[in-house]
Parts: sequence; structure tokens; C-alpha cells
Amino acid sequence: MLFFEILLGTALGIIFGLIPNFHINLLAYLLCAAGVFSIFPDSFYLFFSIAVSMTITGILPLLLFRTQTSDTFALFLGRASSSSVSEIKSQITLFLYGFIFGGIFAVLFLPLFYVLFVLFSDFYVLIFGVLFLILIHLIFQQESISGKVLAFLIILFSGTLGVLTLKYNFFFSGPLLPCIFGLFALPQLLMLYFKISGTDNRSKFVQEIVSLKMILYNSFLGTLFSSIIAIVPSISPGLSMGLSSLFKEKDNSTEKLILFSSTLISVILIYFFMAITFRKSRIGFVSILLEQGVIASFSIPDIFLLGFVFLLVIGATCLFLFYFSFPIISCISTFDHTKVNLSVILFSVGLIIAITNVWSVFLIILSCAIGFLPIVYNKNKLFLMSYLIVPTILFFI
Amino acid sequence: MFDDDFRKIIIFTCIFGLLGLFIITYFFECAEVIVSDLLSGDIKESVYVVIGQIKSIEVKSNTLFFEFCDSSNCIKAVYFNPSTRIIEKLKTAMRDNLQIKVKARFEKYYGVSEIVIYKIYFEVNNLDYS
Repeated sequence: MLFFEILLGTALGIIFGLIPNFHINLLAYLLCAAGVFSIFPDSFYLFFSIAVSMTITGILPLLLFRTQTSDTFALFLGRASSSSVSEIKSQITLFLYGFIFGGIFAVLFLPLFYVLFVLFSDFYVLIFGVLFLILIHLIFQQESISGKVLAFLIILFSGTLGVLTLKYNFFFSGPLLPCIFGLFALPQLLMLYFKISGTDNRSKFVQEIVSLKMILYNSFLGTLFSSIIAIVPSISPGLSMGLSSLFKEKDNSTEKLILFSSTLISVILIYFFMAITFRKSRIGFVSILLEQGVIASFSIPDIFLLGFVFLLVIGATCLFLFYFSFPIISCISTFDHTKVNLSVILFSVGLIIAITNVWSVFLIILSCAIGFLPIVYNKNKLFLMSYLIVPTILFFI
Repeated sequence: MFDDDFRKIIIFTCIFGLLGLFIITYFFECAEVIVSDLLSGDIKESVYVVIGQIKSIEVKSNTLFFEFCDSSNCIKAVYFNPSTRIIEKLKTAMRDNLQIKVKARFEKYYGVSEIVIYKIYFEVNNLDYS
């Protein structure tokens, strides 16, 4: 039965992951609305496998359509049209390295995640300090005065939106969903739809020599920095990736892909591990699983099983992508990108309205306007994380 | 590339959108209910002013948990990031079995009804708790 759950979950995750801009939180809301959790109340590994394999296959639409989510916005991959098939192949291979080694490190780091959470989760000054320093760092890393002012304004706008929708939410049902979509995904999708190039001047992807030492080092670093998520609330994988990038001496696109993919996969294990051991959720998907009673109490052998299943699903999904990604890319490449982007926008907005209510349209428009600020002024999208960081800081003051 | 008009539209939308959201939040008037109304099942999840009395206060992880009751029913209440002054006032209100009024969001958390408190009004019945 367990093997069947893992197999089904991996297969479903692969399919869901291929849908552009389809985040696991949206999937959780859909499954909840469809009553799936009531039908499979004890199938924890089904949903766990879906989350893991969906995260891995999610790189295909990301590479093909550049449809980014709050988890992947820190990645810069160049314009979709400018990437050749061989370039995408190289990127997929690097991602797979990161997923495999990041997954192995994440399992080995489980005791570290546990210790870090136990030691620091109630150490409010540290959490407050880390978040506050992140904001200060983001502002002062700007070289010019005008850059600092702009950075401050983006933080102010997104932070105010966070306070008004998360801390003092009197009207909106599930404001997180439309705001995260509007801030991180919609501006990018609109730019792709209207074929606006933007002013991003970061370097294009350049394939460099890959060594095992480099893969291991970057996977290790990605997993290590993802542990920040275990301690500090409101840090997303995107911000965690951004933080680990700060410790890199040069802007190496090859290393970044491995770093980012290892972070992406490590945080999935952290999310579930935190939910199992501390009943804490850092993501909507896990929060809904907890709410629906799908995540039961785990013993130590169950944690070992969790690690084993995690690696098994990573292995199976990476193997699938290794052999079948190119036929899938060839198939998807025939689709009209403009139509796909329009479908993604309409599907996402429709889904959010269906899950929340029609008032979410106001939040989508407002958060999209704020999400455009770093793009039109060529600033780092990490500033938008203030949407979560500022309300969290206020919680600890 | 983006022209100046587009930038102006973006900034205009941000400022007036946030301002509008702030104004409607600040001047929002909510219905006044008692705890039994919330638990009757006829009330939807929203923000209300609730009147009741406090029982069993507990502070955990920078969050205040207490039972908020009327004459027949109790509901779980959560107040994030409470100040020491607020905790002391609430303890006084609990000890003296006094009625207080709270502005709170009524919701279900893991299937259990609860209220997340935004503001506590200590001046019900013109009583001074200070």
C-alpha cells in the first residue's frame, strides 16, 4: 500500500509539476475543495510524494516559459526565447544534480534542523534581529541614494500590504494566495504575455565546467541555508536562495542552479519534518495537511522512513526527467508561449477567485502593481519578501 | 522597457490602493455579538465585536491564549504579541469576573472555532481596569 501511495504520488506530482506556475499551495486548496483529504485521510506519503515530485518537475515549465513563483523568483534564467534546447538540457542536468545531492544532504541534516528549531524557535530577539537585518541589508546593498530610497519604498509598500492583509485582515478570505500570486508571479507573466523585455541586466546563463566538488559544495551550501527556514518564519525558499547567493564571491550561473535546486528540495523536507515533529507549518500545503489531520504523530523509525521515501521519490522523479524531459520539452515547445501565458494568468486568477472570493481581484491588482516596482526600477525582487517579513517583525516587537 | 506613463500608473495604483485599504480597515464597523452567537453555526467567518468574560489565561510563544465565555458557552481566544500591561489588565478582569469587549476575527483553526483578537476594549460598563 505504501509503495502504491509513493508511486501514485510521484506520478501525480510529475503531471502537476508540468503545469506552468501551478504552486503546491494552489493544489492543496483544490484537493481540499474536492474533498480528497477526506477520501484519503491516512495517505500521508501520497501527498508527500506529490509535493516532492511536483517541486522537481516544476523546473520544466520554469525553464520553458519562465513562469516563476514565490519559490523560484530569485532565479534568473534569461529570456525563454533566447534559450536553446542544448542550454535547457544543460540547465536540467544541473538542476537534477542539485536535487539529488541537496536531497541527500537534507536527510543527513535532519538532526541539525531539529536542534536549530529547538534552540532558536522561541528566541524572539534572534528572529526579530535576523529579519530586521535582512531588510536593512537589502536597502544598504544599493549603491546610490536614489537606489536606497527606491528599495525603502518597495519594502514600505509591500510591508504595508502585508500588515493590512495578514495582521489586520477584516475583509479578505485567504489574502495570502492573491497577494503572493500578484507580487511574484503575475508581473512576470504579464511581461511575458506582452513581450516586454524589462530592464534586468543580470548575466545570461553560461555553462561552465562542472566538477563533483563544485556540485557537492553548492548542494551543501543550499541545504545549509535552507535551514534558516526551520528557525525563522516568513523566509521563503526564494529569500533563502538569495541569502546563500550573498555568500558567493562571483555570479556563477552554473553554481547558482545547483544551489537553488538543492535549496528548493531541502525546504520541502524541512516543511514536512517541522510539521511532523513540531506541528508547525511554514507553507500552505503542509498547513492544510495538518488541518485535515493527514499528518499524524511520527516516531523515530517513521522519520527514517520519511527520509527514505524522500530520497526514493527524488530518485524516481530525477530518473524520469533524465530520460523523458527532452520528449516532453519537444512536445511543450510546440505550444504557443503567448497563449500558454494567457491561459496560466486566466487559470490562476479564476482559481484564486474560486478558492477565496471576488474581492481578491482588488488584492491581485494592488499586489501586482507593487510586484511591478522592482521590475520597472530594475531592483531585486527579494524586496517583495517584506510582504511576509514586516508583519512577522511586528509580531515580535 | 517601461515608459514614464506606465511607471506613473504603477505608483498611482500602489499609493491609492494601499491608502484605500488602510482607510476601509481603519473605519471598518463590525457587528456586536456574544460568544453563543459565534458558536450557533449561523455566523460566517468574519470580524466581530464580541462581549464576554475571561477564563484560564495562558501565555505561550509570545501569544496569549484564553477562554472567552458568556453565560453558557466558551470559545478559544488568541491574542498575538501581548504587552505585559494587557496581560495584567486581562488577569485583573478574569480575577474580578468582569465583562470585556474585543474586536476579533472569528474563524476555524484545525476545525475548532476560535477568535483571533485585534483589539481589546476595557471600558465596557464604564469600568476602569487600570
